[in-house]
Amino acid sequence: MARLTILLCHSPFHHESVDEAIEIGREALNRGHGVDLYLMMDGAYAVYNKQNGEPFNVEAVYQRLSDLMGKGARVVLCRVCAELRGISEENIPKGIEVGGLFDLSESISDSDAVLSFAGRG
Amino acid sequence: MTTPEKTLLIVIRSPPHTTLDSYEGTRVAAGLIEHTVRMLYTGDGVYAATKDSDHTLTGQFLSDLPDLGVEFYADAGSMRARGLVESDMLPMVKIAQDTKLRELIMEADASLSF
Repeated sequence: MARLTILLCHSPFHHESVDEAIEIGREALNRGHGVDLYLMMDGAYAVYNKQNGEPFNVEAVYQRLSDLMGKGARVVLCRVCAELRGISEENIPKGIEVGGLFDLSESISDSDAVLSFAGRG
Repeated sequence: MTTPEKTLLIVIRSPPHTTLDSYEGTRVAAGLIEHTVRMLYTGDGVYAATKDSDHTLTGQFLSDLPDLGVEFYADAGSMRARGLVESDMLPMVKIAQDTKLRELIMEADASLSF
């Protein structure tokens, strides 16, 4: 079994990379691999539990993250990025860890592969 | 169990203006310091490594990271395309020709692009 770290810095309902990160993570989990997802910059919005995907007839991203965690993924939210965006404890689904770059560093240490969805698409 | 440090390439592709991507990439480099970290400025990212760009946010990191062993490289082709020369760049930035770029990429265990 391999371990995969995914760094996601893009916002939901805007950037295709959010779907790519979640679906790659799901497929890795389905194949028995471990997945760490680190949410940074606008990727922090992915956790926001008041999202409503109904206008676009899609599932809210935070629910998809919860599904990933149900399959065994570890999801870590950058504390600084969340605070900058006004995302507080009550907006964060249960099971998501609030951490920092130390967690990303540790995930990279333990991973066999790292995928980065950041900066220009 | 945590494995030994890795060689990480932080690729800055975004200019220092319009978004905070280049700043966040620099902040990430500081946070990953237990690894071997190399910074590569390419495309419009080379502007972030010039002396005259605004370093209000990145200044402290750019001052400290070389002392912590972080190496800085700028893509020679991207500089050339933008009319930049070595004297335009921050003093710790080495100019990387294509051979060096390949080496940096091949030696990296992982790259994070901002």
